[in-house]
Amino acid sequence: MWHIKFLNICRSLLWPSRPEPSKSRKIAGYRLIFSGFSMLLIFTLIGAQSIALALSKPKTSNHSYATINDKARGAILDQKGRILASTVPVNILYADPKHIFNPEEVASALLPYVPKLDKPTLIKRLTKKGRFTELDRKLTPKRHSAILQLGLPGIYVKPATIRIYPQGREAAHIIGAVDRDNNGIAGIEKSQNETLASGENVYLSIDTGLQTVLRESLDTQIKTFEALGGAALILDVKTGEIMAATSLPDFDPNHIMTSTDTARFNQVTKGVYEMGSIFKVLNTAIALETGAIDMQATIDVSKPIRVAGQLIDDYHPIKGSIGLAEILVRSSNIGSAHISQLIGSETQKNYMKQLGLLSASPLEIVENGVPLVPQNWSHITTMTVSYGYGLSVSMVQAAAAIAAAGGDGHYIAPTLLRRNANEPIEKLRIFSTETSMAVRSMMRLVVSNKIGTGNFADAPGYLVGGKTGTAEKVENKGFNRKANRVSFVATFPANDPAYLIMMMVDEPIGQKHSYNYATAGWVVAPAIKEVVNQIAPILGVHPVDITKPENNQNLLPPMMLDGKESVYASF
Amino acid sequence: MRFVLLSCLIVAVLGSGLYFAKLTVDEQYRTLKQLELEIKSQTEHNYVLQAEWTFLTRPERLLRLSHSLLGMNAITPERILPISSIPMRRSVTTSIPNADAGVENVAY
Repeated sequence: MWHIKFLNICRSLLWPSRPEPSKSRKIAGYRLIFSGFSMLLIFTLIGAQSIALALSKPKTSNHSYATINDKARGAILDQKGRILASTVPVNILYADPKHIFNPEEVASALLPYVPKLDKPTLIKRLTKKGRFTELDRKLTPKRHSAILQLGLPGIYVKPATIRIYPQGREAAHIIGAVDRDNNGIAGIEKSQNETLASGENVYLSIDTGLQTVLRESLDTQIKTFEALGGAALILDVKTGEIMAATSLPDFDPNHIMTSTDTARFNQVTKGVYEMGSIFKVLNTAIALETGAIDMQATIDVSKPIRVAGQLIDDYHPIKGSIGLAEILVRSSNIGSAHISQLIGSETQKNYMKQLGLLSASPLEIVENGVPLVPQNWSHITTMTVSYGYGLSVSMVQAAAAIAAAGGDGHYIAPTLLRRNANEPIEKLRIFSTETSMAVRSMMRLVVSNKIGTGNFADAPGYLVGGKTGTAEKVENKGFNRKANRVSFVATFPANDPAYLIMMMVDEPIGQKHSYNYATAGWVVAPAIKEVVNQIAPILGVHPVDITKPENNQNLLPPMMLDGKESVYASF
Repeated sequence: MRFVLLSCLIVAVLGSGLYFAKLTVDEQYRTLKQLELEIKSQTEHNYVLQAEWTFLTRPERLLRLSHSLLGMNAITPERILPISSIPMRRSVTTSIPNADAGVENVAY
């Protein structure tokens, strides 16, 4: 019976009978072995626990005081690294209605600290079903502290992030905005959403300094001429970077929900318009490049052209025959239409295609307008396109095309993203150096010669070249002669064009000081001069003595205009 | 028996050593986490300060303030000259005919 024997052993261990001298040594041996094993077990357990603790992962705190993590939405910066959009921490004031026993009392106490809400709305929110009701999204530290001191049960504050636009309205259409969940809903915020959401910053080609100057000047002209709105841009002719782009009316992206549809419409990149006479620059360039006409040829512009029931005439009728330069300088529709006939429909269309005017530009923005291209590029279409009617394109597209003709002959696709210093630029040669030199010389004469339409754009010393454009707005399937969209495209310095400025004003009204004229020469040209005067020092363009031959070396020799020898410096 | 006791002692010493090492590591880890939180918090402050600085130095505001408070206007082309147009200071020994006439006669 082994168990009886075991029990006896246990009993003898607990209450040992006085052992017989012969057995006492054996019992002592058992006791020693038992104690030894017990000690070994205890120390083994302690050792195992020590090893387990040493190997275990440390506990981490679930609470974090930082609200912006590594994956916070990246910032949008301008060309010089100035912040255009950034993410900052805010405190959200919210209530848990289940913890509020007296909504009336809580609402009364809280009311002075939630200025956006009135008492009935606050009570409504505090009695709402559910466990969360937001009371204020942008709690200032001062109000935060005051609310905490109230010690109201059921009123809590939680950290969150918010997107802010410190430049306000500047370049608002380009930057865009985000929704409440920080997802881009417009502009660069939307088109670069993936990059920004991954925490990376995005650098734009926009320069906020230039942007401010451009917006101020445009705004002044809109107010002075009681216009509906307007748009303007500055393009780097040598890189295709859009350095400023403004569309008025605009909006504050910090409060995008309060803006109107009209204010949110981007007229620079989204709106497509018939550009009017500024297209004559392209017509002239194509004519010279294809050899359809040379600088010495003259065209009779005294008689209006009647074609397919339409009358093509000039704003200021011109008598007799004039040369290519004078057609551009005097902005003759008749002359341009005649030249287009020498170019031919197919050739004209091909050039328009190469200049990126027949399809949407590859601009990095969702608000990118698609040109309205006539389905049938007929004889009459060719004529009207030559002076800017019948083909509607966005301002950015027109600017890039004119930069090719009036620059160095290369077409560079416009971009809104900053180019890196050594980044290769894809350039497509459209016009020869000789053609672009002739075009820029003629553009200079539009501004410098007294018969030119853009005299008011002449910023002394900066060799501004340009072209005016006045397009009648489409209304009821026809044109409204009283509702114009006036524009001006300028390049400077004309001897080596580096920058292009394009400005458009929508439906200006003639004023007393403009002798009731509301043409581009009166409305936009003075603003161009103002912009050039202000941005040239920022861009490092030095004023030069334009009478010196070395400053005119990239322009053609003086031409005959109005029967007299033209000089680039004349006014 | 001696082996058992020795083993127990070794285990106890190693266990205690490991335990203290773990405590030290935990402490260091806590310090690291605290520092990381502090860096994040400072980064947040930095974001806010940068945004505030950008807001206060936005060109539109500077333009307005410089015009209204300092009466500053856009620089006109006549006031911009190339560095070469600034006349160099002439050498005192060669260009001042009447050097002992005093400082007032020094031409620049």
